Amino acid sequence: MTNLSIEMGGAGKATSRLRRGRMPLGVVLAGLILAFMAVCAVAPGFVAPYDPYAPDLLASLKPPSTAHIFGTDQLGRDIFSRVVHGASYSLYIGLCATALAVAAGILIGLSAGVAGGFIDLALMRVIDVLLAFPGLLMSMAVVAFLGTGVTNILIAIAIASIPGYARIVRAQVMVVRTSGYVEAARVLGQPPMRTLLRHILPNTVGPLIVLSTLGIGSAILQSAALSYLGLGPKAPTPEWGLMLSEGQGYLRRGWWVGIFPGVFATATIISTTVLGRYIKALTDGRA
Amino acid sequence: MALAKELITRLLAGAAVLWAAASLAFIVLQLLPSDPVQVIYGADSTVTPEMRDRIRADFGLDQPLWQQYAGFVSRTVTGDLGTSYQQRRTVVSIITSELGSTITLASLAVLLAFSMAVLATLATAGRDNWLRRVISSLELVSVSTPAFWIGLLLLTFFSFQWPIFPVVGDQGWKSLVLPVATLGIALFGTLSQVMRNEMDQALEQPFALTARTRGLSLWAVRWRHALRHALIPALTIAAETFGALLAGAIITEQVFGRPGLGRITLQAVRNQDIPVVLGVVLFSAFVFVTINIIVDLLYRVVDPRLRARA
Amino acid sequence: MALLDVRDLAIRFVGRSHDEDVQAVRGLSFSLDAGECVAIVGESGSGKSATARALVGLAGDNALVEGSVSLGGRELLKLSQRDWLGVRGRNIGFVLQDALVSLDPLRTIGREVAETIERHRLLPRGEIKGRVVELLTQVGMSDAESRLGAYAHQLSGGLRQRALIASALSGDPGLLIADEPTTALDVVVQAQILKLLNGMKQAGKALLLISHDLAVVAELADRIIVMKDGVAVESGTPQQIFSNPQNAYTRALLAAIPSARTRGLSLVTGTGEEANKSVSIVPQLPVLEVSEAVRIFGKRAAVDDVSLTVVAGETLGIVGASGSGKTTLARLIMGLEAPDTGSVTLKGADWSSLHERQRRPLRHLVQLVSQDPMSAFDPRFTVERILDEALEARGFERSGWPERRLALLKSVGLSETHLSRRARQLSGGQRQRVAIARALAMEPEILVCDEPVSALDVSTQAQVLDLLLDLKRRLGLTIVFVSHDLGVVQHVSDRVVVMNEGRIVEEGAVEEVLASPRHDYTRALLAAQPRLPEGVAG
Repeated sequence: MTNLSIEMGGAGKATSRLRRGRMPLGVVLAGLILAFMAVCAVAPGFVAPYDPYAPDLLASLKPPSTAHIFGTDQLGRDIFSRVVHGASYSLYIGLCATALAVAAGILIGLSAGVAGGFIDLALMRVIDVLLAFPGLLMSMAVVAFLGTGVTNILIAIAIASIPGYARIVRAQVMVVRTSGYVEAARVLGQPPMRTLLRHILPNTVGPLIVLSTLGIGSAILQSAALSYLGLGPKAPTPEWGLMLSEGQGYLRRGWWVGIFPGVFATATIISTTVLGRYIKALTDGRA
Repeated sequence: MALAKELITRLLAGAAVLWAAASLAFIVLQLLPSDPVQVIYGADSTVTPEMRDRIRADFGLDQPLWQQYAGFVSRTVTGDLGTSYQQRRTVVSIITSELGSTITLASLAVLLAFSMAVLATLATAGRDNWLRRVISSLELVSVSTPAFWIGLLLLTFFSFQWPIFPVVGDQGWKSLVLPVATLGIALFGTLSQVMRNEMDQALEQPFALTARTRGLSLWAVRWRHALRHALIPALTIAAETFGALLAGAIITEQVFGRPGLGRITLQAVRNQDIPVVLGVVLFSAFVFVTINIIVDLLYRVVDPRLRARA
Repeated sequence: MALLDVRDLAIRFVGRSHDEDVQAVRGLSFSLDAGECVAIVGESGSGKSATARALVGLAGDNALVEGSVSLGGRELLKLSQRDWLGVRGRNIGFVLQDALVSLDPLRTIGREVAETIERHRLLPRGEIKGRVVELLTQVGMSDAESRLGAYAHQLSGGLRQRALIASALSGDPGLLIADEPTTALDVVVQAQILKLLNGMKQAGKALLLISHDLAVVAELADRIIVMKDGVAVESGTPQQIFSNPQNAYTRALLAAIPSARTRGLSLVTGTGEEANKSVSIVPQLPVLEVSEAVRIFGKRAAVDDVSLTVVAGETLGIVGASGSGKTTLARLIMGLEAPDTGSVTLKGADWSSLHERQRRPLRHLVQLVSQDPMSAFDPRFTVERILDEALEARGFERSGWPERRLALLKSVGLSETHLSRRARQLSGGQRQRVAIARALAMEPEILVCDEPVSALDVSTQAQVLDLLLDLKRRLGLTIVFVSHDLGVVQHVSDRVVVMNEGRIVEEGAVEEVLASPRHDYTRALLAAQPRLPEGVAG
């Protein structure tokens, strides 16, 4: 559902506003936030002041201060350092799961759309069946099958998002196949393979790549949810969802335990969504 | 007549989807790397080979594969989803005992999300002002914020900072408020975006201009004409919304420690209690298919253009 | 004092900055009395629709409307939003182009027509239904009572346009504004709707008609205002405008309207040698033959037992209303669609029965120019790549491409500067020129033009038609020209076939068929065709 919702939101008004103004402030902000997250993911030691794993039981559950700007958790670990280190898990899962799902989606959707006939019918019925399961439930079922852990939730999220991408690709192939320019290529006597490579593939994959930037946000959302449910990495990994789940019992004594990992997760997801919508609006405006 | 024919086609297609889902579930069961005996008794080495065989016979695992498949499908058709490895209860009884709590939570949350979405849509569609910017930002936050974090924030502020609502447990309507709010807020963004997008488009159609030339105010055009158009995509995503509800229920029930379908699913996944996982999956597929059939029928009520086509 | 008095109307659309402001209308003045019809005619971007909308206060949030509009002595431009609501529907009725989208598709026409009455509380609840039936009957809808529950999509184009007019009349307004009320309709239905509007005028309504088509308004209007770029360049009675136009633009516009009179003449300059007509095709060589072709979609035969011959060097016009099967016939000729029975032969050899692989090497012989060139180009492609794709398909040496590209562009009146543009960066006329250039790159013998000018303004249409005829003369092309517009077909064709419901009802030399039609359908089509009064200055 997140895919669909994100896709709908940017349409219409956004494009008209784009044409009138420069790059909107929100987009600049989203870019800065993602750049910061990327630095956190690639070089966490550069940003984080403390070891994210080092407990300090004397300093447990300390509120935010100049020494610990986000406070400390139940084991006295610096929450800011842990949150910074957490970026790598979310970005890694978000990017890889989306890339995997998009690649598989293109493969399936394109084969169905181009082959047509029985292959199309069979593939699309399978997709229909898979779409009948809620995404989170499907990734949970895959986790039940594969076991927990970072790699396994990555695969689970990818598998759960394949049907959606495959359907979009297939629909787009259908639109392009019946378009005036593919017919024009036929009138020119172009062989079908050349038409496929020159017209159908680029006009199908292009929009999907744009759309997949929006999918990254929802993949991160899913990974945080699975980790929160205890199906992702194990403690003491500084993953955002896991941190929130571990900190839940201490909310009464320290609100900051439940705030900052969520702020980072939400800021990352919103930023990818804002940026993705901007890219989509830009490309829509040109088409 | 055409309607009956259409309905039969729909039902057959739905049955086909369910059959495929059941087959898929069976394949997953077969591919499972772990032995159910292992799941039930863990690494207990005192289990004798005889006990092992008896358990396998209990679950019908000693029969040939095709017999297992036929049995599985025919049992599924009659509504028998098997027995939990962990709880030694039938999956159906587990699901039905937990269903009520989840339905209460989900239906209240849908009501909340839908009312907020309708209000937001009516107030902002076809406009370009500060209110629209505020509301679309809220929608963005709603679709981008992990539902469990919304729950944790609500807990932090309304249970710990200001103890208005209970943290966990079942204390009547009071313990429903925060879970319903969590799930409702998480759903609101999607619904509102989809509905407003449609209403935006409806308001740009010539018929909206025609309505205004009759002397209708902008507000009346939204209320009397465009709102109905906005309901169509809300119907379209009804099945997806159900999926989102189930996913949201898993999370919300975990956050607030509520009983329900979500909690047993999570337990089953953690314990690799595969019959329960597959039972929930099949159950959700069944509900999904049913909703889709109902939605297809409702379309005809809302959109007369579809009636003509049948 | 006139019922409607417009003085110095100016409409400006305010953009983000001053540079983006658009002055849509300037200094427009006219007046309109009960029982009178004023028509505003202009091409797209002339400001005619903005004017219509400004008169009901709906020009848009970013529109700055100045001047004076008085209706029955009341100044409208000074009204508050609230007061406007009382005027719309009650004092001014408004009819838009296409009732399929101008009536709410989710509401019955009964409710749509009743809306104005309910809104202004003109009648007690119980009497509304009777009034709606009366209104629908008044606009010529037979059996109105049983149609109250119908939705717009269930009615024919003519009936739903009548319902839309009924809804505009329901508040009994003194002034009726109709913005392109017949543009989406077939000629026959268009004639009926124009007659209906004329009846309204006779009954004492003041009618403001907005149209892009001079011929459509000719019979109805008492005065015509010709607009261009937001300014009224000429106004007068139809007699004055048609027989003695003062303004150069009006003259060009009139000359640009294709008809039987303009055959052999340039539509842009109004001059021309009759020479091309004397190129009568001496050997009568059939280049393409369709015999007993049938193409069925679902249960309907889109093309039903059609036979025709296209002779080398001629222009064959295929004319018919929408749904008559003319586009399917064109697709059969193109080899894009295969006939279910019957055959198409090209230069005496099999064409329709060929396997696509066998047809491919011959495809260059028959090329297509379609109605919507925008969708006929890959949106990512520049004009250069569009032409290259054709040059490659024809098998020309790569080294010769640059030279050929330029020659092609030149032959369709474009230049090197257009090579780097994409389709969306071109105007409608330029796009159609590129489409023609791409077709020419294949060195075709037959050019199939499917409604090539119906999306274009009259003056652009004139340029494209001139170009096509010029190319035909220079290159000896054979043209199959599909159109719903009799005037266009009369202008370009040597021979014509008239199609109705999938069948050819009449065919022959264009002068004969259209001067003395034998078939009823052709007669109806001709009678319905809006025409300029005699004695138009060409």
